Amino acid sequence: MKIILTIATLAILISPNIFANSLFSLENLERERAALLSTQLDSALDLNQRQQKVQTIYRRLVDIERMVLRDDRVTASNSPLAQNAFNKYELTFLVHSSAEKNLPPMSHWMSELQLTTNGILAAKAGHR
Amino acid sequence: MNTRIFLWSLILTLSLSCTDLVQASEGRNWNPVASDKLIKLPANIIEKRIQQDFEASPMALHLVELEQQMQGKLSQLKSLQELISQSEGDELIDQRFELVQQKSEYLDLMQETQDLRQNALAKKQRLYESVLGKLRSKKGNASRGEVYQLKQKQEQARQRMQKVLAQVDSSLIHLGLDKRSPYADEFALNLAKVEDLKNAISKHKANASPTLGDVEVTSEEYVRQLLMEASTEQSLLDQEALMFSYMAKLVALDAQALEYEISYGDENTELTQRNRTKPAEVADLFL
Repeated sequence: MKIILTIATLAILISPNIFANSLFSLENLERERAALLSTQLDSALDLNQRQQKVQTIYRRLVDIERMVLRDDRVTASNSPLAQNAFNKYELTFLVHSSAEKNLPPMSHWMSELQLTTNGILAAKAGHR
Repeated sequence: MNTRIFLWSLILTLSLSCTDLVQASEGRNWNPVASDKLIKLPANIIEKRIQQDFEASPMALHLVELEQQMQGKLSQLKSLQELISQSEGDELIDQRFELVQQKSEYLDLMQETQDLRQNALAKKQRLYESVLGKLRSKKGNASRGEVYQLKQKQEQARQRMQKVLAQVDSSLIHLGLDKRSPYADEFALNLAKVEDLKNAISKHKANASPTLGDVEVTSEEYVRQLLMEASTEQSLLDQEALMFSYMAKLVALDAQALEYEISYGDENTELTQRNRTKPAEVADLFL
């Protein structure tokens, strides 16, 4: 009986905490990536300020992308957010996928969305 | 007269016993179920669990009883055969009659044993098939599910990330961020320990895959092998049933021969002609 109780207790300890937010790491990643892109596009920042902010976010993104890839709770959740994240590896794991192509994350992001310099220059402002 | 009636009923019974009779074995049953608890056990333990369950069943206990009774009958048969070799006359007939009767009883026990074994084997086969079906459906569900697909994608993404880890780390240094983050430090420290623990788990005997010979096999393969063994056992039981039917036929013939012998005497006994008066012998009286 003691053995059964011990096994049952261990099973509870081993099983992931069902009350924890299983998408916590992925949500953090989404926030950091959004912060990186908005910092890169923030025209209010000068070059030095932007570089400092981007470096800090970049460091955090390196860690958090690895955390998400190692986090089994994200995939176990089977949420649309997780599905979408893994279906679009290039955009979700921006730092690591940009390293594959030897591009800065911002350039990689723009190329994935097919935003080219020529395309932007040829664009006209107007109402849809 | 009683002996003759008995012999005829014996012949009839033995003839019937040669056919496949389904014996009712009320209260001597074994009803195994492929429960979810059973499926979760390692394959080699599944086999032991089923065998253990069978051995504790009323059916198995009855088989043990029958086996003991058969052993008792066998020793009776042997001593009767010894007595027959030393007897003659009416005593010999009585002992031959007793021998046929004992043989018939032995065959009754054997038939009951045979039926129970066939029944148990059929149930074991159905159980293994059910276990195999559940194992396959479990595997199928696991590989078809969305969570499984997502985990596959995560695994592919991990492998992809692994290739650029060093490159990303060097880009951090290049950006002047040469001090590693607390996460990276702790993770690297724990990683070696995690690998050691994983190795210990994979080598743990309670986590070992079942083996056939010395080769590690999957649970599905192991259960397929169990089904194969059940088929072999089935085939041998069929052969035993054939032997049993021949034995029954021989006892029936013995009984028939004994009945003829009691009714018509030994085959060596010559027919005696009643004395009758022949005309030639009395013809002189009329002369």
